Amino acid sequence: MAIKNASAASVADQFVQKIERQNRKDKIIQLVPVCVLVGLFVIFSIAAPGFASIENVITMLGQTATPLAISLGITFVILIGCIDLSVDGVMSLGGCAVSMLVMNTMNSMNLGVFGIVLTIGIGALIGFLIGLIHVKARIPSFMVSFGFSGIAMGAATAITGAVAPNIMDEGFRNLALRSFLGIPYIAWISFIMFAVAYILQEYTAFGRYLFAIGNDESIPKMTGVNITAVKLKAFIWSGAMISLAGVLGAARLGMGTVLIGKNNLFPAMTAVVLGGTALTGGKGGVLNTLLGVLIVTELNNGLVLLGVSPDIQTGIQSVIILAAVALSSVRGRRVVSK
Amino acid sequence: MKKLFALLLSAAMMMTVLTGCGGNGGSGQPADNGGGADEGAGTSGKTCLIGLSIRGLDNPYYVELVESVKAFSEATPGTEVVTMEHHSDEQKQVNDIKSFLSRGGKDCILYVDPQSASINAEIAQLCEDAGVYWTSTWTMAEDVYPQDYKYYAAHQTVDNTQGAYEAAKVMFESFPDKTGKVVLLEGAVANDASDERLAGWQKALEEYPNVEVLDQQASNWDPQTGLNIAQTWLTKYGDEMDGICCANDSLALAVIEGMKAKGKTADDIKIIGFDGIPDAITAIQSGDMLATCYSNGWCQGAYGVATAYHAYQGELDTETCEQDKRAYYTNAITVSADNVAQFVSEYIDSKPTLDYSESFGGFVKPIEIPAA
Repeated sequence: MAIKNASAASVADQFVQKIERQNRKDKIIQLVPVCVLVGLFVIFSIAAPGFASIENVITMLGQTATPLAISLGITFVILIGCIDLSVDGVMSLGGCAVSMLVMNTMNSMNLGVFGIVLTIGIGALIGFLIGLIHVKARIPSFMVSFGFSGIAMGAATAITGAVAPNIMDEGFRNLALRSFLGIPYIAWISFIMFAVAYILQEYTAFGRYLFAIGNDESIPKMTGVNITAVKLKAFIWSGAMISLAGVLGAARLGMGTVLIGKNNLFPAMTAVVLGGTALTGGKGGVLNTLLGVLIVTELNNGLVLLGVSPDIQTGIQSVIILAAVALSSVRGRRVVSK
Repeated sequence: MKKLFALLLSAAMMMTVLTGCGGNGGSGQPADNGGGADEGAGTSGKTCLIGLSIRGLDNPYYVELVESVKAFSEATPGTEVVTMEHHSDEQKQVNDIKSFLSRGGKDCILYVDPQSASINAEIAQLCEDAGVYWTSTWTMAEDVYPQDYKYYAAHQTVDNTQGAYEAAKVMFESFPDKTGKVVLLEGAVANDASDERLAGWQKALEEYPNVEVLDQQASNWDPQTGLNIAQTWLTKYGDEMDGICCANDSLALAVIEGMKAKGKTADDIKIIGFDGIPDAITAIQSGDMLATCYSNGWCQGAYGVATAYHAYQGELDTETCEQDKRAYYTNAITVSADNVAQFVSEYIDSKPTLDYSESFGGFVKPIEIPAA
């Protein structure tokens, strides 16, 4: 009897040790994005004079504003295992819509802050529709969101009629032109949204459900969680954030052109994956995304400062990104999550 | 439930297809078959469809192009304009043209802005087989020259190199002692328009030995990327930078905003663009931008269509006319603070009157075709 207990105890011990080893490995892998971020910073500081200067750091922080907003949005959708490809369209629609709602050269609207709120509302509505069609009609999220990207882009073109309205609202333009403590307001807005996203993720049930659904949908379903509601909320968040990114983009450019959203999907996806969030869902989070966005911005900025020829810049970026993703994806088989 | 949903979706798709076919592709004017047409009948009484295959109406340049063709159509009884947007999709463009040709039969002409040179040969062949005259613009393929085809009436383009050269000269002249340092913001690598404008800047640089190039980067034609690159340059070069040459006006306007955000004015850093879009003209008037080159979509559109129309009417014989004229540069106007007032009154507040009876009205100088 005692021998049986002893062997049972040692099996339990072995199991515990295995989990502890796995958790240690996980912790190390989670540190990879941080290492890449710091490593690149050091390399660029040495190789490119001026990289580590306060002015450049501030410039880089300003450049993270729009990518961060987008990436925060799609992170929640990726966490549940879906994907949101509507970035280009919804961002353009956000930029064009807000430029026509605040004081501008094309019409006599002057809604100020309410214009921004309305635009985010439009983005949220599109997100809601994407989520609804995905869940109810069981159409894969990449298809629905890609379709809506086209619809939103078409809507953006239609409402502006190919003439980009110039934004006259001083307060709105100042979001990009003025700074607080040296950092442009648009960057502050993104950081505040990051804080909100982090609180949502870590301190609310909604956040926990995101991870649970991403890991294995059937488990939270069995415990009575309303899967549909959580998914819809994730898509609504994503739509709202992407359209906020469009608002920030319009502030930077001072006008509402349909070009605002172009080519923003891939860098945002890259940032999310670089940060360590798995595209299959259930792993990662907004902190990882922040790291990913910072790395991508760092790369773009550093390569320009180094004066690297544009011909090979894309190649170099891709190599670095591939390496970083490969490193952070060495997860092996996961035994148990905490 | 799913079946019902699928049925509803299919019905919706059918509806949109039907409305698309029934309409005029978005821009038709009712054909005015007024008697007493002076144009001389190509085919008696039938409406000639003018097909425009362009990138997209989200670009003010194309909006102006289409407007000028519509003005031509209004002045020319018996014609109707059909606009087809391909949005940088080669396949869609070819399919649009095929559908248009089958719709128009022999009574149509085409004005095409090819997405890339790879489809020029296909379009030329389609039109030869259909017996439809067409004019191309901007992109011409090697070995596919108007002179080789009966129905390929003409090719016209703006001289990107010349325009960029002129704009760059304005900038270099404005530097004290003609000395300064500049950065070059290209459109995209291996893109015709971008490469040609880069060549124009470099030609100007040769003439101004005291102007130095600090760096050049490509922006993928994306204004936000251009803005980021310009701000990064500012960190790197600071006050050393005297001018930024931008491959088009959208980039230039974004760069202006980026500089403003960093507290730099137009006096510190001069900026030039290309295209002559309305916002750029406003920027030149306010002093934010130094110069741009107006692509003159107004002349390009109408004159390009006029060539094909005259051939269709039989007034122009493409095989016996002056062959040099069939591939040409149109005039592009460099706009800067000096002539902006005059430009505005001529091209924005009113439009220059064009002589539609001219077969090669837009001709300024021939494009050199390498001897076969």
